[in-house]
Amino acid sequence: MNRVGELIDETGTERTQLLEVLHKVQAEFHHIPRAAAETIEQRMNVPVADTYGVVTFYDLLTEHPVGRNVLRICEDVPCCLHGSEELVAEAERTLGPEGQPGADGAVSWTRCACLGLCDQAPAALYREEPLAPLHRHDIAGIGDGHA
Amino acid sequence: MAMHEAVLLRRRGAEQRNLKAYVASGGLAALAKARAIGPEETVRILTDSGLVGRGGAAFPAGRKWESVRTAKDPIRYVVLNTDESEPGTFKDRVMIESDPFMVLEGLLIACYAVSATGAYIYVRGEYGRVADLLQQSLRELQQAGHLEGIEPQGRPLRVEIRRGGGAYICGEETALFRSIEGYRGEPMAKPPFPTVAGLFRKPTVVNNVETIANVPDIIAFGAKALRSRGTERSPGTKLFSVSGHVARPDTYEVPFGTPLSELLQMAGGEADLQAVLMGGAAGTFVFPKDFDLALSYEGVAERHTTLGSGAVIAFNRQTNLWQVAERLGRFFAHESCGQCVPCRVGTRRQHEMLATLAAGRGQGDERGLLLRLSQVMTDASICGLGQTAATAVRSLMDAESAGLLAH
Repeated sequence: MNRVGELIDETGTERTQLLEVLHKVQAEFHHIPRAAAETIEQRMNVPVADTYGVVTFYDLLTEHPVGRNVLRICEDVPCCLHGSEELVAEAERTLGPEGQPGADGAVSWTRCACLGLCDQAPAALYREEPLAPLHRHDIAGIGDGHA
Repeated sequence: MAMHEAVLLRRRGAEQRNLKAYVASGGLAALAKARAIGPEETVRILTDSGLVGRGGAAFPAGRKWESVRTAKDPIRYVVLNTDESEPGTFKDRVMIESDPFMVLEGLLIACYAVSATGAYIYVRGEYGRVADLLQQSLRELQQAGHLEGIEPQGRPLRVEIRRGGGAYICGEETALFRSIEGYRGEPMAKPPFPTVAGLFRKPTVVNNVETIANVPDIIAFGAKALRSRGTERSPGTKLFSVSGHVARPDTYEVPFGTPLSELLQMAGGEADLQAVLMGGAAGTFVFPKDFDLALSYEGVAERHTTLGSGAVIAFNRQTNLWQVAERLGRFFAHESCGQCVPCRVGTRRQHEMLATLAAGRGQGDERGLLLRLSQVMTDASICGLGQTAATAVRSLMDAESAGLLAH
């Protein structure tokens, strides 16, 4: 993959840059495609199996495609006290099964661990920006493509 | 209710948050002083101040610095642990948002004091804004030439900001190193300690954001500056992240020794609280009979609890604390890195039993099993995650036996 090669060029071919490269691939391809892992193997000397070991370890990297826009809903204690369970149910109802984008690939949602936004609970990240407190109508807006 | 003077957070809400404004309000004087007095004296002041790590372990910061300063290996690193992920904890985010330059000045002083050849700031992947703010502030410092003259070989100091991948365990220092190196964040057995073999197996100082934010004032005003607040054994102030059933969830800065009840009052805690969880997921539940406890290292030890990361989550009487425990159990089962059996299997079995108890479907033998499991996880896990994954559950069972639960 040429584009992945470019991302490696601008980041570095050292092993220590692997996570940074994977972040960039994830941002552009919304998952780590097999072909990207193969390019990484050739250019960074990290075996494909090793790359996927890293990918599956970190929550922000995914083996399978997620939406171009990801909604992360915190499900830890402070957010739970402020109704995150209902928001998760709403996301499931409005946006479909967790982690799976619709046919247009626009949006997917996922539960996540504490986001460090407990002062604004219930918290979420949308496109990696805080969306807190998260309201039910925010989820509906995301579903309608208005957010 | 006493009003406490903000020290670390004194620039919070300032109109201007740029280098010029920082310098105009006394910023960078500490870095200049460190350079004038030299590394050895800088570390001595820090040691004398009694500053201990604010990430949870409370290790004396000066001792870490001195080990690395006197290390034989000429390659050394300083790592700023900005992987704030303990549930209920957001103080480091607020600290950086309030005063990124004070944090970076502390980091530069650390680099100078230990003759670091490089520095890394490991920011959790979900803190994109924090990483951007640090990057922008770092650029201002760099453009003004403040990264010159720190690195021992005379090169400009290289400070790299690295994004985490979304894994709680990477806040553990050896896991954090693995993550920067490009691997899964699996903790390593200690010793060797990071000061001997840390990042890239080189002597490394790892400090929490709040710890490093304390450094500029200590160096600028002397060891006594820290000791003018707090208690004899816990000098200085502490940032607490207060959340849950309080009217004003926020980060609060109070001198060590402040009663927990006062902190809860500041945050507008509901009058009839059932309990608070101190120290985050790895902490313990504290009940109203102990709300008079002093928020200091000695004060919490006396009541068998912990300050941990400074998280304080409040629960009203309508809360079923077994449901809270189920959430904690789920968190640990999800965040266990999986390399050691007591933690990988233990956190899952623990979560299953907590889910049963939270749903009110206990068979009667769960509590005994949870207790035995907690012993195994505490004794046999490689790192702090497994060792503390049952701490809150144990404190909940104790409280239940004492009749303190509302449900």
